[in-house]
Amino acid sequence: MYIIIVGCSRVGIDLAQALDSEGHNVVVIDRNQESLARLGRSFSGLLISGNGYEPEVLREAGIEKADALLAVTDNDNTNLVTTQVARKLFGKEKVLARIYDPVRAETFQKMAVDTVSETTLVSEAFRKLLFDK
Amino acid sequence: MYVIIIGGGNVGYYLAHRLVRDNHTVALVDKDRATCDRIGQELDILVINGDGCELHTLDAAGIERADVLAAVTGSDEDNLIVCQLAKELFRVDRTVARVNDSRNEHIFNELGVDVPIDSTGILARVIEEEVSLSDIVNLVTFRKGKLALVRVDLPDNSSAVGKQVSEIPLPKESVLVALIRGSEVFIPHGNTILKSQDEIIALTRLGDENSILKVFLPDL
Repeated sequence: MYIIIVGCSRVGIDLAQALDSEGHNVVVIDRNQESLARLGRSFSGLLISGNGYEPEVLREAGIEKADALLAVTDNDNTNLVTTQVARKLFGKEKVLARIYDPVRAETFQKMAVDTVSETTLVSEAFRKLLFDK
Repeated sequence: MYVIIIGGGNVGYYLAHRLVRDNHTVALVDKDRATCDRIGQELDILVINGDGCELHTLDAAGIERADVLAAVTGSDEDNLIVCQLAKELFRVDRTVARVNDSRNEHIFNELGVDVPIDSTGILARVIEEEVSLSDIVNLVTFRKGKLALVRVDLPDNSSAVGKQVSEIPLPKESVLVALIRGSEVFIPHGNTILKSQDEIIALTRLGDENSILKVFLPDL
């Protein structure tokens, strides 16, 4: 798959490295050149510095031929804007946003934005480990 | 009207000040406590310290009964998301947002903000008008860019000089709105006679500016 990752956060790096090593075509966008450098030499995908919801930057990243976009910056609102731009301006179906605030995640889920709520996942993991043997 | 303002910077503060003066009811939300304390002391409005993107903050600001929400923070992402929450969850009639980066204006339109205001673009156009040497100046655009108010300075050798307004073959969907002559402003009528150096203000469809120019400028 051709996958665009917006945000070279820890989550972004982890995703990019995993998907890259699984043989996917990965492009990572981040505003900060130094964050991109943290991906290291073993990463074989494309790196683009810029605003990940700016249409020009997304075009440069090859959004037209991308199969999926994952918005995983540390900012909920940036991720929500990015996924909506990918969906509404470029007609992409598989776009996911990482969201800390569970209420915002739920709200935008209702507006057909697919979200992964980090807080809910962590809380579930804790509860599972607490009661599972 | 009940107006909620998100963002207590210069724009938010000044907006609140003006709305209160015009007898509107205003609630202002800002993330910074010190900013909220200062505004609370200076203006007689409801001030909420919190993140406007969180529902309990919007609730506390009385969003259920708000007629308008104006998002004027320095972050385009925040302004966009607040407007979407106001629209989708609370059915606020009118959302107005400040666009900080002109390149994002299109995105505000696409994501459903009723009135995006490109502050940088407006400022740049005003400055351009002051320094411009071009024959026609675009003053304002309305209706998502379909209509424009333009200004043309009538040169001495224009064929329109000395003619009545009714004799001028204006493009079909354009009207002369005002004439500025020295320090005076006229509303032109059919029998108003144009003089050289008049500043002509016209309302036109965007894209028809060149037809207007052709009418007032001498043949090239």
